[in-house]
Amino acid sequence: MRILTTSVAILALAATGAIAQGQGNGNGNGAGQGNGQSNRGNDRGGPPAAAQGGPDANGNARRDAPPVASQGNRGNGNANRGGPPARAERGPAERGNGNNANAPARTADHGNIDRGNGQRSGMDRGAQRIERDLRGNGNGNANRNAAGVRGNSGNEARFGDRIADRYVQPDGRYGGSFGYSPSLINGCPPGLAKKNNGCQPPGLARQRAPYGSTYQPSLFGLSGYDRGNYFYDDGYLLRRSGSNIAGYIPLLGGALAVGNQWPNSYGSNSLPDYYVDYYGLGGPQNYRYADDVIYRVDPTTSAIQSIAALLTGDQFTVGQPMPRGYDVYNVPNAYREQYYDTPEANYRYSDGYVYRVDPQTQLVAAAIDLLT
Amino acid sequence: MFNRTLRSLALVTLPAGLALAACSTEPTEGPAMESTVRDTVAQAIASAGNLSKLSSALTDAQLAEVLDGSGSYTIFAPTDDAFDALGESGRLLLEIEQRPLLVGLLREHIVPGHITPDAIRQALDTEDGPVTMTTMGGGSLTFASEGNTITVSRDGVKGANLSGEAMEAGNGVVVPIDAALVPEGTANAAASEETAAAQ
Repeated sequence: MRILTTSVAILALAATGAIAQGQGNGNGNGAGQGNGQSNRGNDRGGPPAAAQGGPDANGNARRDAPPVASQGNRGNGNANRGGPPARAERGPAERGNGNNANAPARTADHGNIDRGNGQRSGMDRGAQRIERDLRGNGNGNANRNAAGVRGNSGNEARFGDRIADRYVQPDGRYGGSFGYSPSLINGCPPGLAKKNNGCQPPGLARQRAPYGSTYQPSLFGLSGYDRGNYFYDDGYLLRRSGSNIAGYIPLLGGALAVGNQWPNSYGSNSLPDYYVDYYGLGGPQNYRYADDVIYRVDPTTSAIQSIAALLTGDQFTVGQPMPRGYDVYNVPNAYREQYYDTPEANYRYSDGYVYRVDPQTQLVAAAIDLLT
Repeated sequence: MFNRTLRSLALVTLPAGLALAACSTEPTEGPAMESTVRDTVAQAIASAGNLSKLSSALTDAQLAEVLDGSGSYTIFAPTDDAFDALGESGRLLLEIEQRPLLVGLLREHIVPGHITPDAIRQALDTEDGPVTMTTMGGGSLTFASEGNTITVSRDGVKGANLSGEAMEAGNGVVVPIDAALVPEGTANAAASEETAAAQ
């Protein structure tokens, strides 16, 4: 059954890739490299194909290798891929040899990451996926000869690589808060300063809280703030220090509601390109990011136009345990036929990435971006 | 030429895709799943007969566009009856000055990705016990089974049962629940308020 599934997957993806391309590419050669190298360096050129890489996945696939499971082959090799573009899959810690007509199937499944060429479009967006494993070893060469299609386009190859490079995050870390550090803004929020003549806390009588009078950042979806003596007023969460206000947090739906101007004093971190593209944000002037929320803003006035996305802020690191709270299979609809749980691999989605996880160890094996 | 190529490839792809689906171990969808894959989560909620108050709340909270967007989310959706059961607290939540609190409450009903009741059941079977998902508000939802019913609790406090037909949209899933997932202590606070008002 697995053999059939794998073969069919290769066939289906190959066809899809060809449709998306509308043309062929050939002969991508990447220099074999030693261990510890990113997979990214290899297999440049060649048609778009989905590649999955697990940790320490070495070696290349020969497409006509018979599908037989094997482990423990370590080394470098070359992949000769005759025929249409195909998908390469690699499992964790499996290192296969290429150039071996008897190469086992798991080896065959564990080729290098393929950098697709060609123009991206909505049609091929779902067909091209690259699973990034920065711990993996990308060794060997790949020759791809797409059947019945045109040859290489160097420009397209470079284009594809450039797009892919933009999405790589350092050290195998994905998600997280992108350097954003939750912190109070010192002092008094603008409205309260005017109303109370010296930034005095409002009377508790005004606190008609549906949840009682104990406000904490967690009630507002805020993580990473210290517990303390907070109260809520007019769209801000205020922290009291004695009889004064020590600082405040503008709140989503309050001070950070649609139509309000983004507060100059409130931090906003840049997002990696991948997230900008995934959520269709446009450019850095068009969004703000803080406290796991992405806001669309008017680039000239900084007025908040909409809430673009909520993020978990969970960080996934290849080779490290998966964060807690992902017990249920949750891959988005468009990718469920490709990434589904098996005894060898689980897949979980968070903040724009699908992650492959070892079911036994719960270690993150790879991150799959959904754009390239 | 190009069209012919497309057709040919489509013929190859289609049976391949069908065969792949037939061989996969992907969680199967149960019968109580309405598919509206052309809709978004926000649209599915708006079109549901018993989720009108949630739909209004999402609009008031300015979160509807999130559920119309490219991110994938599953929302555990309190029914209209569930909103009614919040009583005075629910009414206060819908006041504009409390909107940040409404946003915070709704975020605890949303989890990342595409989660079906069947996938929850499968996870419960696999784990042979409760399973947890992180929320978009920094908390967690825990699912457990009680007979044929799946329960969901917020941060460990039992809150609701999955009820009614889930709706599968293009960018996520809407799973109706029979109570809002309010923070721990809210019920007691509400009871105290009512007691104080009665005295």
